[in-house]
Amino acid sequence: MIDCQPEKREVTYILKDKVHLKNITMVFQTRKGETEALRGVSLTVYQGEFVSIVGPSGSGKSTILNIIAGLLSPSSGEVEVDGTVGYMFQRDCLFEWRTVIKNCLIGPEIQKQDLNLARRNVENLLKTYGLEDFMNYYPHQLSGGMRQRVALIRTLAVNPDIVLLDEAFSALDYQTRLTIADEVWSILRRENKTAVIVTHDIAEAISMSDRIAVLSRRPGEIKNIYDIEFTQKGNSPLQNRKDERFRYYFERIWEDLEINDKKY
Amino acid sequence: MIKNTEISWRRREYLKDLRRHQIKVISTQLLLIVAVFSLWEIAADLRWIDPFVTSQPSRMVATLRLLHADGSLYVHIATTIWETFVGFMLGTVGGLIIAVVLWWSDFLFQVFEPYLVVLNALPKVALGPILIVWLGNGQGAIIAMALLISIIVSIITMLHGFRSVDEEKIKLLKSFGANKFTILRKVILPASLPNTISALKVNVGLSWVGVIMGEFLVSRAGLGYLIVYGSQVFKLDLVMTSVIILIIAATFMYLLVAYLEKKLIKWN
Repeated sequence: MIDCQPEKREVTYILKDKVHLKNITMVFQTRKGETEALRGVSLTVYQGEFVSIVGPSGSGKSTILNIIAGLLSPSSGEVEVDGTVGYMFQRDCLFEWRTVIKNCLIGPEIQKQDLNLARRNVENLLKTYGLEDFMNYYPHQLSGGMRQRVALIRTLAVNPDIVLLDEAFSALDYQTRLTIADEVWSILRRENKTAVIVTHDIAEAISMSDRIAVLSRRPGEIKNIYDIEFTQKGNSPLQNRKDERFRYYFERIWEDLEINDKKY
Repeated sequence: MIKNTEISWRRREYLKDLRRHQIKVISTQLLLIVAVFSLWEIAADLRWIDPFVTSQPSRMVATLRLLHADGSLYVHIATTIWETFVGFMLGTVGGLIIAVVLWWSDFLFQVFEPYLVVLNALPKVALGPILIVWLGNGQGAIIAMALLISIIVSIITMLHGFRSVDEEKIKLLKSFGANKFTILRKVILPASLPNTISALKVNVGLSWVGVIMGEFLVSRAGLGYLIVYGSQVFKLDLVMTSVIILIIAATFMYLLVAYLEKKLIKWN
């Protein structure tokens, strides 16, 4: 369906930063008290880069994405986002009263874009990614993996420069999860997107990313940033999982998270 | 799923069984109603019961003929249905508007929530006499009664539906840059459509309660009027006939809403 041949990525060394977070602090106020979710987080994501954020639950990973998406403003710190943002969630959030194509068109509809143009664009995407026969189906008629692919196309329909993935695969069963992660990865690479991936799955993060930021427990601080370099460059996530350096990164990040745990 | 151009014999057997079962259910239902009415008729004929107080199917048919002959049957039915319809519409539309406002403003929701709870607990029928004093003893009071009974439940059910729409769906729309009105239109209203329709179903019933209650209290026409009048002059034939007509009318109105539901919710 989707060809997972290694992409020949042209490495241009004009590193344009798409997302720039500087010294972000986030404090949530509720009736019961205040919660410091993030403390002094700085992170830069460059054009075309896939950056993962891993960390224990409640470490403010999703908060970072919400800040990048502009859904939250940080209590202090600077946020610069160059370009438009698309968001993918753990659950596909497809609207069960809309058909597949109509679901994909929700973004262009809201942004009052030319719907004919958007429709053609979405139809092409659906065709490319093997969903053209299901265009007029309702979401409940699709499998979990297909639904998540529709959700991705819905995100791509507004042609975002930066795609945020918030545990986008964790609701899927293991097998589907690996293949869909692989597919989504190739699609995003092919469409030349920049991606920020939040996950608690270390293996997923390593296999998909160029860089990984490890967050500490609440309040989330960046403990470590790893540049992921496999012996074989330009492989797909599934192939990366077999790379000899995979284990090395896994153990390093695992340790980071474990040490973290012992503190509490 | 096994797909064959020929339906397999297993499938055919299954479908046959299904049909047989359905026929069994429906015929038992029909039989039951026929049995009740026959027993009623016979019991009255044989004087096991006194048809003067229980009436009797054949007498009801005669009453029906009489009402049909002078045309008053249709006046009464039309009056009641009209009142119910207006009360139902006002209760539903009003309830929807108020629910939207309370969804929109969290402040107003917090202010009005306790009042809604109290009004919901209050038996609205108790307000009947007040309505008559304020609106006069005419159709106004009857419709107001139906409205009052249905609107509070409408607001509560619809609002609950609005507020339980998946937060992540709302977040998704926000990530596309949607404003509050767009969120209302694109996700809140369509997502709570099934809930709204079940509110309508409840409302139909409540509107009938309101109208009949209202007609008991005031009115010179309508099925509720016939029932009260009939009982006052001890014409149980009239009372029973009116009740039966009422049952049929209420069933039709309910079926109408159920049909609407089927038309509107295609995605299930």
